[in-house]
Amino acid sequence: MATCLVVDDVTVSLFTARAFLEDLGIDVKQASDGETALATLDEGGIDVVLLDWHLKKKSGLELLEVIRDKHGSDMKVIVFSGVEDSTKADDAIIAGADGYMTKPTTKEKLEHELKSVGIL
Amino acid sequence: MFLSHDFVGLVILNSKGIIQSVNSHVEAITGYNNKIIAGKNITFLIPEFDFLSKDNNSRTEKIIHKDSGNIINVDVSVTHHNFGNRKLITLLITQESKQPNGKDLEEIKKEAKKVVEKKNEFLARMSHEIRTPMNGIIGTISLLEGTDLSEKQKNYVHTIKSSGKSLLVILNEILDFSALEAGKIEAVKEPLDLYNCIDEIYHLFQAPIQDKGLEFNLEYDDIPEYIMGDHGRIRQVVINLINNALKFTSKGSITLKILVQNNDNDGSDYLKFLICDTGDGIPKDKVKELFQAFSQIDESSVRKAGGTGLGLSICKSIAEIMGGEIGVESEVGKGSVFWFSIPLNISSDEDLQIICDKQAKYKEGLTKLKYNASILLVDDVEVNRFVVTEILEGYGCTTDQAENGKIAIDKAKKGSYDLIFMDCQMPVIDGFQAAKEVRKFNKNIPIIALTANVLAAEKDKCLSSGMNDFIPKPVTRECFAPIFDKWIPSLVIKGDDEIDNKTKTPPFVMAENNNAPLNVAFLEQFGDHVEKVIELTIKDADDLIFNIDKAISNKNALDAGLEAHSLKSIMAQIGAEKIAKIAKNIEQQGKSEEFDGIEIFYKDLKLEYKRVIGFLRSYIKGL
Repeated sequence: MATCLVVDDVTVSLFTARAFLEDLGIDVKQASDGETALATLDEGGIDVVLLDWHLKKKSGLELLEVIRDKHGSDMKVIVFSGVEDSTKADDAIIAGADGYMTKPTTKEKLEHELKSVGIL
Repeated sequence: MFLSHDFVGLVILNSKGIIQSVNSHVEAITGYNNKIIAGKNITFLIPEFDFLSKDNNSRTEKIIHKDSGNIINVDVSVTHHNFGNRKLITLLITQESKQPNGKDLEEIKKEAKKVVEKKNEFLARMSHEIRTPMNGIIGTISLLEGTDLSEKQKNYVHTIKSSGKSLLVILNEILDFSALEAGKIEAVKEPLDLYNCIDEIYHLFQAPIQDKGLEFNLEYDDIPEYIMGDHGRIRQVVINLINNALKFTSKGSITLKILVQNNDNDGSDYLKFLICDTGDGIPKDKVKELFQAFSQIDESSVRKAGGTGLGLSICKSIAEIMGGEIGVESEVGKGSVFWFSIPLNISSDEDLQIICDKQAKYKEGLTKLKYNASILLVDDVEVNRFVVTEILEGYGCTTDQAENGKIAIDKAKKGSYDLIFMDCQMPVIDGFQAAKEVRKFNKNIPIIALTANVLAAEKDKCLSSGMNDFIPKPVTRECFAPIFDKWIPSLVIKGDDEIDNKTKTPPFVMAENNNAPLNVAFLEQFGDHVEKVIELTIKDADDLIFNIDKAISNKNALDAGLEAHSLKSIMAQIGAEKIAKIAKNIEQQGKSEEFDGIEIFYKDLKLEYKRVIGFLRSYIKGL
């Protein structure tokens, strides 16, 4: 079973993502800031990261760069962000994201993205 | 004739008590002609009258009136005169209370009531009579305003206009007052959206209160979303009280509070509106008079604030008609709290069902359709534009606005719209003229009139000026679906069938169709987790709003924007589009560090947040 690390600094967003992911049969770990996220990744066992683009402390972009440096391109990273930021999709992909998803999150969107990065 | 006296009845008796002569007023009091009385014993007029008694010069006696048979109380002064051996006795008779023609009190009351009724009828008629030309004057002033004027002339016109408007307000008050006196006003009890009602009032006063440099606060506790009551009348009283607060407050704040209280006496709940100001305050001895008609605290306050002095008396009558009460607590120099309460009747599911059924009649499912249309809305009244824009947004349309026909023509020329909604009566260029002009360069765009006048002649006028259809005012959301269906059917976006099926139980059907703060379908996707999601959403949102509040007090636009971003995202996640949009506005203002904009949106945000929370709580209860 695949394990997904959800990184978001809003509690309820973590919870909703977890609920959908678990429905899809994915194990979930969560982190509410960049530092925790990196520490969790270091522990290993993560197949895919669902990363909020608008983290307050360390931005999603910064975190993505660190992940790519440390874990190479094997780690799948899906960025998610608000609807009106869709131009940001390009930025995220250029910065190395494997997928991009707009908020609000739905199970269907998650399923689609996870399939396209080969997790499901 | 020395016996003629206009006010007092004079009777002269001989020593044996036989009436010698009377003046004309005796007839007025007793109904007996002097020819009949002359030669009769005084007991004929005043039974049991002891004319010889000298111990009391003035006494109260009873007289029976000849025609009516009524008993009349009279004062009789008796004087004995001696002219040598001849004795004469004079009686001066005055009626105890001034009862002309011997009528009794009941009759007098009836007559007085008739006079009051006539006065009210007259006032009502005159108000109408005055109002018609006043509308003409005010309308024409608006036209004049749009012409080429010098600065001086502009000032004159402005003065005439504001005076005219004040006059109209006064006329409306007089009209209302007479209608209330005549018992012609009744309060209806129908389901009403309380949040909507408050929202409307809040938007109405936001600008004028801020323009005066005052703070406008809105506070409310757990109040129900739907109650039974008279929307128009509740609104009227609250508006009147806020207007008063605005008049008498020159610095500080005005706060509108709404809460539910329990009546200690009978245990029933009532809904209480409080309007708190930091104005002049009212001296204790003047408070009683406040709610009486034609009273204002003193002459100086009249000079300062103007008005008919009828406003509060009207409010009191309306509050009483609704089974409620009105009152004030005030301290000079500190401010006043005017309150008004009505018995709380929460709409039952059956009531809501009635509304739902009504709405369902307007083509089932149609109200759930969305239209991808770009619309130009033309209306000179800001509140109307606000209402229609809200409705149109609900349909998924994007809306551009114009305040008069002239602007509308310009915009129609430059922009590309799918449809125009056109008010008919507007300053500068009216709707008919504007439609004609638009037709000169655009033959195809549907132009729909918004008109308060539903007479056939008005409809013809709309059509002959090139408009395609019309919606009668006041508009409701339901009016628009048939129009879209008829004129822009190709722009429809198909609704989600699944949503339709899942939202059939009230109150959510009602909320869906109307003005719900969020789309239930978003909640339903969480399945068993929904309760937890709601709980966390509220907790997070509370924190975020607290942070926004803090950022605003620190004048930190950037932080406020960042917090708003997160709020936007979690609100969008539960389908609360409206608040998400407001949060997005704050986010954008934050990015460009526009602090003033943030404060304005923040007030909207708090208001909408209350709605969202209320909805979420009732949703959980219904699970």
